[in-house]
Amino acid sequence: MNKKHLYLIAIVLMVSYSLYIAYSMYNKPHKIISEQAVDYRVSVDEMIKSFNNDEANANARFIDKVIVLEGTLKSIVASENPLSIVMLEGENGQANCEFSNDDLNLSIHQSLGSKVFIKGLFIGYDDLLGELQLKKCTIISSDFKH
Amino acid sequence: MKKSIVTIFILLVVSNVLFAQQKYFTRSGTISFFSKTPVENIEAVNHQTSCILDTQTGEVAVSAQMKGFEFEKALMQEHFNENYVESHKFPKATFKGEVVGFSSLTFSDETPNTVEVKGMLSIHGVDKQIKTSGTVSKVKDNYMAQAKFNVSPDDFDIKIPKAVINNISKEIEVSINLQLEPYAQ
Repeated sequence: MNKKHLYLIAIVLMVSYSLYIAYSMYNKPHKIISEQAVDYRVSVDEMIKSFNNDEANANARFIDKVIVLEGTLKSIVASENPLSIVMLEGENGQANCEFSNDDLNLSIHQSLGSKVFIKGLFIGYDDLLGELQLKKCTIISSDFKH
Repeated sequence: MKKSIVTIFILLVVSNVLFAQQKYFTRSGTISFFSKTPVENIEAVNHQTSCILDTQTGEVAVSAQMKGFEFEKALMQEHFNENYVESHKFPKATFKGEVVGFSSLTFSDETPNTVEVKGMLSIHGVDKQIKTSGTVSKVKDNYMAQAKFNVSPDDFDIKIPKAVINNISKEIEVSINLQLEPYAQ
């Protein structure tokens, strides 16, 4: 094996490695929110209050963060398959929580009216309806320390 | 005296009922956008779009969180939020405008009416007057509204890096699909 061959092999290896890196970056998977560390544990009312006080500040603090939200399970709005919207209610406002139907256990209907904890990615405060919005939600056990 | 109090009370109740029935809303509307180029097709969907429609005046307001758009590829979603629309600075897209002549529309048999919608579209901190056509039909107590229009990233001061300029279309097709129910607070 002469020098020329070695160079050739080295170049082929380098090119295929960079292609592999580029390909895996291009196809990197979405974050699974239910497995991510929690940034904030708050109640619907606490968050609504933050947004009423200073929306810009609350945006900077909460948007794109993983939140565990405490509230009363108000209703389940079946929207487009394969997604559902679950409404979580406080005294002074509510939250629109988007679930994949795979993550929405049917037993959730029995929890209507009870206090629950929903983990999800906070995407923003909708000032049109005055609602918090979370996506990629899961219900976690009704224990704040979970 | 008693009579007039009763009359005022009835008037209040009636006007309240009328008021309640003239507004329709959704919190689970869909907005999707589509960019088609020979290099690749890019699509993103938001299923948490909110909208309020006043059927008396035709006034309509729509709001969607930028972070609510879901792409097939995580990397594209990241570029969209961080580099293009800068959603940390401009978290939502809004539209405020009117459905022209809404109160004079007649609704029958779920047949869609073609309507003109015009108003201010705000994305990435830039306001732009737009005009588009859409359809509205009435199904039971709900209004079904749809519209499709094109936007150009350039119009909203959204800068696409040279490296990917061929991957992203100059004209992005936006589709909106709303099922509006009576608004009761």
